[in-house]
Amino acid sequence: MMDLVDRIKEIEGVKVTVQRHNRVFVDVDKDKVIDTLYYMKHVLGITQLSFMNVVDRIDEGKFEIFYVLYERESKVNVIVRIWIDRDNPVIETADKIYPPAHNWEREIAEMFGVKVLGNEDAGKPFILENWKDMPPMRKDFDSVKYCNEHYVFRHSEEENE
Amino acid sequence: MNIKEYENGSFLKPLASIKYLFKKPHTLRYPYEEKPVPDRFRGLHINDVDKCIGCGNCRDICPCAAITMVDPSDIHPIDKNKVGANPVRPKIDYGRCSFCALCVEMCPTGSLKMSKDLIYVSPDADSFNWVPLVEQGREEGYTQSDEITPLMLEAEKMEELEPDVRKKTFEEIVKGFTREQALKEAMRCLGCGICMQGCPAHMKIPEYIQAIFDEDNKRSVKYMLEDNVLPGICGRICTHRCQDACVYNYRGEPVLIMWLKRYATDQLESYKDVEIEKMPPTGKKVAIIGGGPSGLSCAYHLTTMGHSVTIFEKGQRAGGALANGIPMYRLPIYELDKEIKHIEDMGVEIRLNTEVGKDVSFEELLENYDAVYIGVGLSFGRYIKLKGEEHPDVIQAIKFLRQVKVEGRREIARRVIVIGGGNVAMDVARTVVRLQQMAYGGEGTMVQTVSLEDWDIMPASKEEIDGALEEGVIFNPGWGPNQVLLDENGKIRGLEVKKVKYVFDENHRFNPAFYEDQKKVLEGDYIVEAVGQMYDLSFIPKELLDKLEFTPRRKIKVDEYGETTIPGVFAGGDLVETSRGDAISAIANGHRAAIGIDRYLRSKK
Repeated sequence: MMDLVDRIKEIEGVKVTVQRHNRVFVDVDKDKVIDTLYYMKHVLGITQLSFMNVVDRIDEGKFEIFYVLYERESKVNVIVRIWIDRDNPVIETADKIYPPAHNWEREIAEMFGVKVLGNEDAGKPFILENWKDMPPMRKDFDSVKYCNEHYVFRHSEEENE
Repeated sequence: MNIKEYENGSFLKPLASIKYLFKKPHTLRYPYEEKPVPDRFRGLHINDVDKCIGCGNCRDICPCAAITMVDPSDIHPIDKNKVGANPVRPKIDYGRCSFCALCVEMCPTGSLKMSKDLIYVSPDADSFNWVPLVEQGREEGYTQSDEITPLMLEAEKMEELEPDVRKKTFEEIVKGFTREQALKEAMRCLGCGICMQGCPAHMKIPEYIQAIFDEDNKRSVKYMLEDNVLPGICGRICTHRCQDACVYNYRGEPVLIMWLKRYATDQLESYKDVEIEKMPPTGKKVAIIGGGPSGLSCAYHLTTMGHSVTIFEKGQRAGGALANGIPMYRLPIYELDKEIKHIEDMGVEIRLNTEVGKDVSFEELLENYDAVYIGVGLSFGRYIKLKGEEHPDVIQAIKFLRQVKVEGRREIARRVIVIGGGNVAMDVARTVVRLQQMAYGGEGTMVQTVSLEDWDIMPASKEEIDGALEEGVIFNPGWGPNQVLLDENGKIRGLEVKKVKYVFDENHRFNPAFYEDQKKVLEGDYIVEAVGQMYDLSFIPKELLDKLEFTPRRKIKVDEYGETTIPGVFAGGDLVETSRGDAISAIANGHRAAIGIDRYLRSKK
């Protein structure tokens, strides 16, 4: 595994954190993520994108986006992490490098409202039906308010007291 | 990547699939076979209604507002009078539920679980709405775990002085929370309010903890003062029954409510900036006999209701047992002064060094005031009628503590025996340790306690016992005093004790019995008796005292608002049945009597 870590460290401008024996975090600048992913696949031979995910860091005004890659030979999860602006969340698509990213990006776009350049499906309805509200996985989404607006309250009034 | 290329084989090749005939199939023959679901499948809920305490944390956490708390009596009878529980149970609307399982994670008792069953079909939308029960017979699926949980199960650690340091000084042992600790501890509170049932004064605990979390200590103290006029003191010496009732007890450590209260009051130098509602003056006058916690509480609340109040206190300082009894290492005197100053600032008149029955008579009070409140408490030590008890080196605990705290007594014998196993006995023993350290540097000194009760039933709180053990107090549990032994010069040389057979008889009454043949001698030069206190109502004239009714346990009989059988005379504190012998219950029944006096005065034209 350390070979892999050493080779990742050779990439310019990355910060590598070994979190566990099989988990490596690679922090990169958001402009360099596509180049880094290209390098990961075609130079380091990490062929699998397991999934992508987003964490809403509302206090810092950022979205934290993860590309979770899997290196089969040494069985290591390489997690490429970028931070983007929460008010203007735009990323570039990675589906030309990792085709599964196409659908993960659609999900991110729908659940967090992240705009994905180059992925024409991102932004189209994916799982949610007729969703007109704020993207539901954002932390400032008030789920109770949404439920009260959209669903009938079926408990009787005196029960609610 | 290598892709296996299939060679062109014979036409019999498809027959190779016959080999799968006798293998376990990868498909299910639904509906003849059920689809196996994972162990932690999140389906419809199961709730053990008997275990559930109705705290409502599931309702508060639900992101879809799918849960309401309802009375389930018509489908499942519950014990409505259970202490530490609300008589309601969750009812879940599956039209809203998103099966996130936050309610299960949050459940303090672990009664709420999820099943492996997710199938419910009905054309009626209103029927997707029921109280989950065990009887519905669903197979258990998702349950909570203590390892991965959104709750913070462990409490903050309170810093204390080390035993070697603290036993040399009367300085306060507990250091108090820092800001970070207090915020972290306040964050743990779920705000369910079950603790309020434990508190005799029913303080608004969730509200004031929320205010501490919002860093608004003034608002926090405002909430405290609504029910408890001595919050800073209760933040130090309370018996914290609220913490015993805290729902965290089911899974972890309770929220340290008492230390949070202390933190909030410590942040304010005085309470004069706290907004307190005060009603317009009524012109009525109330006399309060005794400036202890119940008297102060009653006086303060009557003042906020607009009456003018005078406290008659026989000592030099108001506070009763707080001023005279509780040692300085638990309750510093400046804290008491701060709270009493606040009560005086509110307009309560405190007449010190004025003993009712001597300086002013009880009849005068009845004549000159519209109502009288008796809150004299148990201010005299009880004797055990021991042989040799009249010796000058045998003293009552309450007298001893008073001498040390108020009169500044510092001399002490080298070997001291404390009789008793309650919190007062611990106070005495730990005070003696400090005096001996000051007088002799702890050389050749010894403190031992002797109590009828064995370790398991010792009435003192665990913290006090542990504290005393750490400071080097020797315990003799399960021994009863027999006689004081004197040497030839008439000085005490020890206490003869005998082994206890049992303390409580088969009717659970206090009725100790001893093995008369098993005796031993505890060596000591000085004996302190800490076996309980009693009241003295001799200031009440005989004809009135005859009118006063008592309960079978020799407490003054009062109604729910503290009124005695004499109209216009109210009683509270340790004199009445509702007292549990601690400050908070005295404060609580003082408050209740204040409400009673207010009702009495307003109904009297």
